[in-house]
Amino acid sequence: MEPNDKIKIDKEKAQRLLKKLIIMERQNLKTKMHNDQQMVKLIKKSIEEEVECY
Amino acid sequence: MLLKSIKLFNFRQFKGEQEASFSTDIHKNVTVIMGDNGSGKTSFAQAFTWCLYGDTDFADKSMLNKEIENNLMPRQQVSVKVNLDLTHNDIEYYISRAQIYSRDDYGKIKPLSTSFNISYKKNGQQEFVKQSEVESRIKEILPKELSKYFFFDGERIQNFSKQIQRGKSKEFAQAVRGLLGLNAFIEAMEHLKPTSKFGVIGSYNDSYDSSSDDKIREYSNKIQKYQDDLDSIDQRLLQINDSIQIADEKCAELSNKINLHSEGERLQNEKKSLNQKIGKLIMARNQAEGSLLKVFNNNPTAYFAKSLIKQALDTLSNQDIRDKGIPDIHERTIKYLIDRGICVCGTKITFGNDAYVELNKALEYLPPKSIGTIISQFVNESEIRLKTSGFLYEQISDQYKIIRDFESDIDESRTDLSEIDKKLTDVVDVAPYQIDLHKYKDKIAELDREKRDLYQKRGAYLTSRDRLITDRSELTLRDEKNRKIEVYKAYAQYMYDELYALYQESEDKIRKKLENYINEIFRSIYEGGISLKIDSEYNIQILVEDTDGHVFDVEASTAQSLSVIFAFITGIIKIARENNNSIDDDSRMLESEPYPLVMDAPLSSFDKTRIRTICDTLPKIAEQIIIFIKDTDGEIAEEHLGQVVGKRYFFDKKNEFDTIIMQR
Repeated sequence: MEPNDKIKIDKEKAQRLLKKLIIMERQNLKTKMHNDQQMVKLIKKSIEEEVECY
Repeated sequence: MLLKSIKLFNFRQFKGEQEASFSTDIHKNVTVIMGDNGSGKTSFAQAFTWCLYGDTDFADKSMLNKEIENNLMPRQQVSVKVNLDLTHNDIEYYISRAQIYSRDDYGKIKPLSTSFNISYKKNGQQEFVKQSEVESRIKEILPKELSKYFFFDGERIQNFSKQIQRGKSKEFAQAVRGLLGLNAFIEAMEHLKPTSKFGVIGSYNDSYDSSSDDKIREYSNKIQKYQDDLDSIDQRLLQINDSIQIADEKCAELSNKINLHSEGERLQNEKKSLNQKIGKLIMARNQAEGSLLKVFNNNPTAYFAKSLIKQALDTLSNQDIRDKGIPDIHERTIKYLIDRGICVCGTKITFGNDAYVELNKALEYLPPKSIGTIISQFVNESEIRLKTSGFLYEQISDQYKIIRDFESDIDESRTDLSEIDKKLTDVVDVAPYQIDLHKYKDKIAELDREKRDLYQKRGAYLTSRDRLITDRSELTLRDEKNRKIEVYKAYAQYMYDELYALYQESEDKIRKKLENYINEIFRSIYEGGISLKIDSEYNIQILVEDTDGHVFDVEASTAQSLSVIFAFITGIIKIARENNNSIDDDSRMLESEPYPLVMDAPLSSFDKTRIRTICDTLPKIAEQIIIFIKDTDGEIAEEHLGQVVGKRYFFDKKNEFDTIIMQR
């Protein structure tokens, strides 16, 4: 699916999110703290916080 | 993963409880274990595999010490246990596998229950991994597909040769990607995945508020329906690709068998013409035998007599047999004259006078005592016979030579025939293979048609779904709450696309890097015009360049295979180490684990120069090395590894069933 072209993506924010995501995944690979559903929730939360942050 | 210690209990040669700990010192990262042949080096190395995966390469699947086994009473139980202490991802794990054995009432040893536990330390507390998760945890620590690279056996390397080059599973490629530090990428993509209902994007699709507009719900339902259909199509396409791959492999296998048959057909033709040739030769030989007999039958007595006559004449020619007799005078004539007392010349014959003596002397040369005449007649007769028998021997000898030539040709052809028969024993009737080959080819064609149809359908569904997404987006953007979801989703989609591109790029880059490292390491061990190539599934091709610059794919020899495995695994370890020590952002995105190399008799297949290279190279690249060495290789290894050996053990073999692990 293509991103919606009527929505402007702040690429800096998106890149920050991307790095944060990889760090979270790496951390979780080590600690096994969260299962897949919990990880999905955490990722959504990170996206929402980052997008809302001006 | 780094190995800290192993504890064995009644495991094969290791009676009772025995333990060894391994060096984890970064400067002295080698643990050397020495032992004679049969002292249990391979058993010890296999204890790691048994503990982690419950399996070994041994034909005898009983791990119980034979002495304990022999002394086991009926219904008595005894256990075999291996405990492994290791660190992985900064967590210390204790892995334990136990198998209980018992002797039944018939005297047979039977394996009973098995237990497998993984525990680890968390905040100072020991916690157990759930039984339902132990397999996946082991897979995460070291996937079985990769284990034989890290725990490898130099003396059993032959079976490994083909596996290096082709036929690796998808799990293998996945495992290598993990070791190369791509696991975090894979996990992140899996969590964002737009096609999964439960991923980030999928769950945003489910969270639209449709109370403001029913159309949103309708579009969402239709989009979901298209997505489900697309998922099924993708699923089916995967199945089709797998089926085509299997059918292709079958076709290749059948074609090989049929080609083998064409060799059989050639051999059958050759056999037929050889049989014809032998038949003709036998006929010709029989004719020659007939001719010989004919010559012989013309005068058979002459054949045997000729040699006897010749011998007799030779003997007679050496004898002085002159005819001293008086022609036509017989013994009876002389006796008559003596009885009459007067010779024909008128001389008186009385007993003892001169006439009497002379006449008696004559008796010696007169018939029947005289044979001179007969011999003369025999010689004359024999010479006539020899002349008349002419060239009998030469004729027979010529015929016999012809027969011998035929016999020799027949023998030669029969030897060829028996060689062909030997080859033909492996060739079977391939008519059923032809039938199967057609079936598989038809199946592939059918699957290809289905694949084309599915791709067409997929294209149409994608267009419809995307149109609905656009339409839904038009509506959702009108509502503030839904607009926010649309924005979050757009970010998630952007992240997924970026991540996907980054993953592809990183994997490509890291695979090329791995290929360079492998070639570099391989060349340091194995000189010559050989290069290694890694494909997208991490299969390794061994390429040889000829003098004209042409490159060929070849099958590896034992030493080459070993060198390739060394190069492959040390290449992976080197990249993993670089990822961990890197400070630049790109490499920090990749994180991997250090791994040990446990090598059973790795030096046996190498010459001294290569042993030196390997001993110099490996400890610098691998984080931890545990090496099992025969006494005969011990000096060389000690010479080259001495500086980096942190721990040394010696296997003291007491008898076939009892070895003691001694620290040196």
